[in-house]
Parts: sequence; C-alpha cells; structure tokens
Amino acid sequence: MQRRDVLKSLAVVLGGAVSHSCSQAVEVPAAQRVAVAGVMTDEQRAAVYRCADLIIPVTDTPGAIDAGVDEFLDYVISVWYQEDEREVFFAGLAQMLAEAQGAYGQHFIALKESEQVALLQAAQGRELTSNPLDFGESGGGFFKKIKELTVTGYYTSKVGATIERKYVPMPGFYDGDYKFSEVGRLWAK
Amino acid sequence: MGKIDTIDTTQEVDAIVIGSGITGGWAAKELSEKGLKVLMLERGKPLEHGTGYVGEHQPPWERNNKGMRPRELYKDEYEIQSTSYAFDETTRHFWNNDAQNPYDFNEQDPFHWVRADVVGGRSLLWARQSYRWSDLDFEANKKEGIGIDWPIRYKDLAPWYSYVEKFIGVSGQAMGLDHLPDGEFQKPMEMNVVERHVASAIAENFSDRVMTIGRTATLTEPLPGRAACHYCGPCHRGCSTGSYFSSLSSTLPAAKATGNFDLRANALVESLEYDADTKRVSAVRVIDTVTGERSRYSAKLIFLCASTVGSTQILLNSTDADSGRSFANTSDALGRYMMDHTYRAGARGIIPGFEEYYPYGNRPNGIYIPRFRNVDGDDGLGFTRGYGYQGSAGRLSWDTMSKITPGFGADFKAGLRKPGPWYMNLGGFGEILPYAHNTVALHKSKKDRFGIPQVTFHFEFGENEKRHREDVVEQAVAMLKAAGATRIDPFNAEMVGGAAIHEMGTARMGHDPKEAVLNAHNQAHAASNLFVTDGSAMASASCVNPSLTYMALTARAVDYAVTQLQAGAI
Ligand SMILES: Cc1cc2nc3c(=O)[nH]c(=O)nc-3n(C[C@H](O)[C@H](O)[C@H](O)COP(=O)(O)OP(=O)(O)OC[C@H]3O[C@@H](n4cnc5c(N)ncnc54)[C@H](O)[C@@H]3O)c2cc1C
Ligand code: SF4
Repeated sequence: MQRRDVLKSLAVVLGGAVSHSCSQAVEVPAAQRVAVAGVMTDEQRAAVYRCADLIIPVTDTPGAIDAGVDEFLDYVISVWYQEDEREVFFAGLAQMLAEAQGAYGQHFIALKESEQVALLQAAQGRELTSNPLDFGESGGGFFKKIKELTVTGYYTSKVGATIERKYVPMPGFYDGDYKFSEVGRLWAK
Repeated sequence: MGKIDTIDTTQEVDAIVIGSGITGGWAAKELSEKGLKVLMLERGKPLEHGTGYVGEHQPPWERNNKGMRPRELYKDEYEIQSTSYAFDETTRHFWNNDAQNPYDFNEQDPFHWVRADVVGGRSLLWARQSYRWSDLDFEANKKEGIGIDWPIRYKDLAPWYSYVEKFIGVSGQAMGLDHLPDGEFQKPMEMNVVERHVASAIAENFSDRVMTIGRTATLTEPLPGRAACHYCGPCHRGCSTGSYFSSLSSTLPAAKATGNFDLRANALVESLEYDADTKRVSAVRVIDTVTGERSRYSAKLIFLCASTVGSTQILLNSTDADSGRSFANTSDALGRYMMDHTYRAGARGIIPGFEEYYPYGNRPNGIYIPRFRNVDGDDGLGFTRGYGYQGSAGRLSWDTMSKITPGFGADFKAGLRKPGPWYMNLGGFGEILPYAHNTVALHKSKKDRFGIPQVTFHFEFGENEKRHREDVVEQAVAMLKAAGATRIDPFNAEMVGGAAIHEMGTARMGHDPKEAVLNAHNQAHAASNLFVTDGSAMASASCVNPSLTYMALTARAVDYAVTQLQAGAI
C-alpha cells in the first residue's frame, strides 16, 4: 500500500482533513476501514502521539509528530499489526492511562510533561529485561512497541532521513576512511 | 514492452535459448554474434532495463507501507522467496510468486528454490561476487574418488574466464594465488579502515590466510554503454546505469545489436521433443503464461539455460512415451547430485576504536577470505575441501542502537545521531559434496496451473558439511579475536538446501554417458543439438560463488556448438 493510500484511508474513516471523493473511498478495502475506525479512540490516539513526541522530541531538528510519525503509527497499529500484537499494545497503554488517572486524577494528555515522562519511564521499567535485544515473541510490551515504532517511523521519514540524518542518493564514490566530523550525523540509505 | 512479442511458429530460427538469466543471456549474445538467428524463450514477465527498476533510488520515506513488510502477503504468496535478504517491496516485482507458481515444499525436508520471474532472471538480483575455479576444484573429485571426474581442467576454462570477465567487468585485487586464480580485473574497490585493520591482524596471526576486497561484477571503470558504479546501493533494486552486470544491462543489448535476436517473454517451456532416430531434440514445447496457448518451435541448436532446477525440470518432463523416462537420462544422474553451498555460519564482533571514521557511499561489495583449508593436501581436520568467507565492517546505526540504548527523549535522540561502534562480520560459504540422494524430481501428482508436474526436493547435509561448518565458526571467532574484537557472536544457523542460492549439479558433465548427462562441452550425451550450460552441469561445487563459471562454460559451449554445426557434425 502506498503512503498516500494510507492517508486516504485514514481520512475516509476519521472524516479528517484530506478531501476525497466517494470513489476513492471504495478503493479502501472494507476490512481496513473497519480496522482503522475501530482500533483507537481519539483519547488513545492522542496519548500514543504524545508518547511518540516524548520519545523523539523536537530539539534542533523536528520531533516525531512533525516528521509524520502519527500517520505511521496509525497505519501500523490499525492495519499492519496482528490481533495479538494489538492486544499487548493496548493492554500496556491502558495500564499507563490508568496510572495517570490514579496518580494525578487526569487523562495522560492533560498532564505536565514531567508527569508524562515519569509515567512513560514507569512503563519502560516494567519491560526492562537483562537483555535489551530481547523483544520477546511478540516484540515486547507497550513501551518497546511504541519506542520501536516511533524510532522506525522517524528515521525512515523524510525529516528523519534528510534533516536528522543525511541522505545522499547518489554518493558517486566510496571512501572507507571518511571522517565522521565531515558529516556529523548518521547516513540515511 | 507491455505486449508479448509475437513470433510466427513457422519462422526458421537457428538457435533457441531457454531462459534469459545469467547463462541464457550469454548464450544469446554469443550465438547471435556468431551470426545465428536466435529466439529466446523466457517464462517470466517482460522487463525493460531502467524503467523496470521501480525500486531503484527510492528514498526510504517513499516505500510501500513505509517499509513495513506486508507479512501476510509474504507468507501467503512469497513464502520461499521472502526468505532472501534481497526480497522486499523494492524488489518484489522481480520474484516468483510462490502461490501462483508453486513447487512441492516440505517443511520436514525443506529446500529453498529461490527464483525470479522476469526477463533477466536472477541476473538482476545476484550479489555479483565472481571468482574463478582452479584445478584444486576440478581435480578434487578424481583425487578423492567422490562423484565423477570433471571432463575439463582449469586450462580449458581459463581463456573463457578471461573472455567473460572482460565483457562483464569484474573489479578485484590480483593476489597471485594458485587456488584462486586472478582474473582480468578492473581496479579493486577499497576496503574500509576497519577491514584493513582486520586484514592486517589476519596476515600477522595466520600465515595460511589472507583477506582481500571482494571480486565483483560491478564496474569501477566504465565499459561501452555502462557507467562506473556511483555507490548508491543496494543493487538488487536494479541499476539503470548498467554498473553491475545483468542480462538486461549487458548481454541482451549485445544480442539485440546483432539484429539476429528475438525474445519471447511469458513463454514457459514445458518439455523438449526428442527424435530417437536422429538423436536430436526436434521441438521445444511452449505455453504462453498469459493466454495459456501452446506452441512448438524447432531449431538447429537448443541452449537450455533455465537455471539448475528449471532446466532439470524441463529435461525430467521430456519423457519417452514407452519407457516413461527422460531421453536425457541415460545415466540415472539426471535430478541427482544436487549441491549448494553451506551458508549462515560464522561470527561477528565489535571492533573497538576507529570512532572518527564513518565511510561514505554504499559500497556494493564486501571482503573475501579465500579458502585456506586442505589447499596443499589433507590438513587432517576431519573434513575434505574447504570454505571461503565473505563479510564486511561497518558501524551500527539507529536500527540496532535504538534497541540497545535504554531511555527516550532528547538525550536518547542526540545519542543516536552518532553511529554506534564498528562491527566486523565473517560468514562462510562451504563446499557441499555431490550425493546421489540429494535430488530434484517431478512430483507424482501435484501439477502447476498449466498441468506441468511440480518439482519436489530431497536434500541432506552430510558429516563433511557439518564438520567444516564447525571449523567455519571456530576460525571466524579466532580471526576476530586476533583483530581485537569484543562481544564476539558466533552463529551457525540451521542449514536449508538452496538457501545459499547456489543450487547446482543435477545434469552433470562427465565423459561417460552412463554416468553423466552432459559431455565436456555441455552437450547432452543423448542429443547432439542440445546444450545445457547452467548450474545443472556442475560435477562438484567448489566453495566460490558459481555464476562466473557458468558464464565461462556457456561461452565455451557456444563456441564448440557453432564450430560443430558449421562442420556438419550437429
Ligand atoms: C539474492 C541472490 C544473490 C546471489 N549472489 C550471487 C553471487 O554473489 N555470485 C554468484 O555467482 N551467484 C549469485 N547468485 C546466484 C546467481 O543468481 C545464479 O547462479 C545465476 O543467476 C544462475 O544463472 P542461470 O542462468 O542458471 O539462472 P537464472 O539467472 O535464474 O535464469 C534462469 C531463467 O530461466 C527462466 N526459466 C526457468 N524455467 C523456465 C522454463 N521452463 N521456460 C522458460 N524459461 C524458464 C527463469 O525465469 C530465469 O529467467 C545469487 C542469487 C540471488 C537470488
Ligand atoms: S551501487 Fe553501483 S552497481 Fe549498485 S545499483 Fe548503485 S550504481 Fe549500480
């Protein structure tokens, strides 16, 4: 599926910002429309987006949401994920949202940044294993999943590849002794 | 292309080439340049050089599904092909759809038949590593009494290696090793700073081995119609500048330029018809994969270049009505002695230091450590023959570093901006011996959508393969240690036949028609006008990547065939 189709399908179900005709709506498989609409409430979505920006915040370069990671998350969580992965993801999210209510009596998205960070750190703490590469059968719990998705979405986005990293589509030559100081950031490939 | 090139079945052609991959491209070029009218039959879809490479130079943010693999589609329709590192959404259009064109895959006795389904075959997808054989390889069967003796020696093939290398363009470093002969090299690519460090550690600590830059059919200097590499990598998405060798960039344009060449895509060869009186192939039976229409072609020469499994399937399916046996199988060798290389054993490790370096450009090549086991006689290690290593050094990037770096937020992000430590990876490719029980056969009942019997495999690894793999792992660890590596991670993954994509040997060459399908010139013992020049011809496997040898055998076979044809002997 092309990225623009993802956008289109999301716009269809969310009644969102992108205008579209009915004929385009027909192109989106029915199962997928149901999936996107049924998977996340607005509040869940807002919390997930907020976590993405806490993981990759705006610094001297744009953060996750400015790079379009929100669309990436929608796609993966609603369409690409299989049911078992989705269950793990939402169970962990629910726990974090419940903790927000319990500790601060408010929804996660209404909290101060430092409070949100503390809650996300707590989610991380629940999943720390001795082996950081151990993502488990289903790719870890909520924290590892949101972190991995945010990172993947960010570094493969246009912002992540061309602003955060450096993208040279046709390098022209190979230099195996090139200095890191000449580039100062990661290469995008 | 789009539409199928239509060819009048009554049209007189001198030669038919079956398959447009690495060997078929060579057969077509050579035959047409020698003035023969050539018709190429290719089961795959049409594909144009350049415009067909839709994944080439595609930036990461434009990938389908943002680069997320459509897992269900891959499982349902590309179960085998998607096991290859080169399979993803930038290359999927080149590959076989396993649901549409299945074979009898058995998880208990697995064999991976990795194949393309487009004009150009696997020449588009290959990793281009190109090494010559030597007499260490050609003489091994005879010396050890394994399999049958090769009917040729290095001196028979050496001029053809040169001929092929000059045309395809192979970059590499001359080393003067007897058992890995130098070729006609373009200037070598560079090892990076850490690879040079590892190479000198190996040279200092192991007198029997040396590490060099890979020999690759990728241009470092331009050739007519083809530009030097611009280091965009990875190559398997296609290369519109023709900087790596493929049929589309190189041999097919040469064939077309003669005016003697026609190509029919979507043309699946079902079988060959045999005339037992004249001992010749009298016709080639073809099915149009789009219309289902059947047709027949005949020609003075038939070059069967449909890949090891493809060609063997066609031969097995060319049966005599009375005996039910393939005309080509005078020896019982047809479909037996399947080989591949052992693969996915070795080690990787972190090389401390060198933090100021970060290579520029995507070099489409790695390093090579030529075979050093049993080179001057038996080393007494409990296995015969040997293996070579391929690998490379690089720096870990965000994908790995993000997983091993705890936390999140601004510091986490800033930390990922710097590449991670250097790693060095060494993976062995080892020689598999020819065993009669390793087979490809026609399934008794399963047919494809055109009614052609599906192939089925049986593939076992022997003790020799298991033992050399243990040595592959041990020696990789030892070399990495010598280079000061830390966190060394040995690997020895489960072996699956076909996974190294160097399947070969199921219609082997040999002097005796009772033992071999083909003679010393890749000519079928049973049919004077039939030549089989792909990997099925191999009587042993060596441990080097095979395609350069297939090309040299093909060019040599064409030369012989045309000489014989002109002399009236065919
Ligand atoms: C990812 C990858 C990496 C590789 N790396 C290397 C490497 O570094 N070095 C190396 O030496 N080798 C490498 N190989 C192997 C190399 O690609 C093969 O050895 C080589 O392509 C074999 O050439 P061929 O002509 O026999 O077969 P192919 O190139 O596969 O061509 C055979 C053609 O015949 C067609 N065909 C099959 N059956 C029929 C039929 N019944 N009728 C009509 N047409 C038919 C096929 O569609 C195909 O186009 C690699 C392969 C892959 C996939
Ligand atoms: S790296 Fe070189 S050979 Fe490979 S696709 Fe790019 S230009 Fe072509």
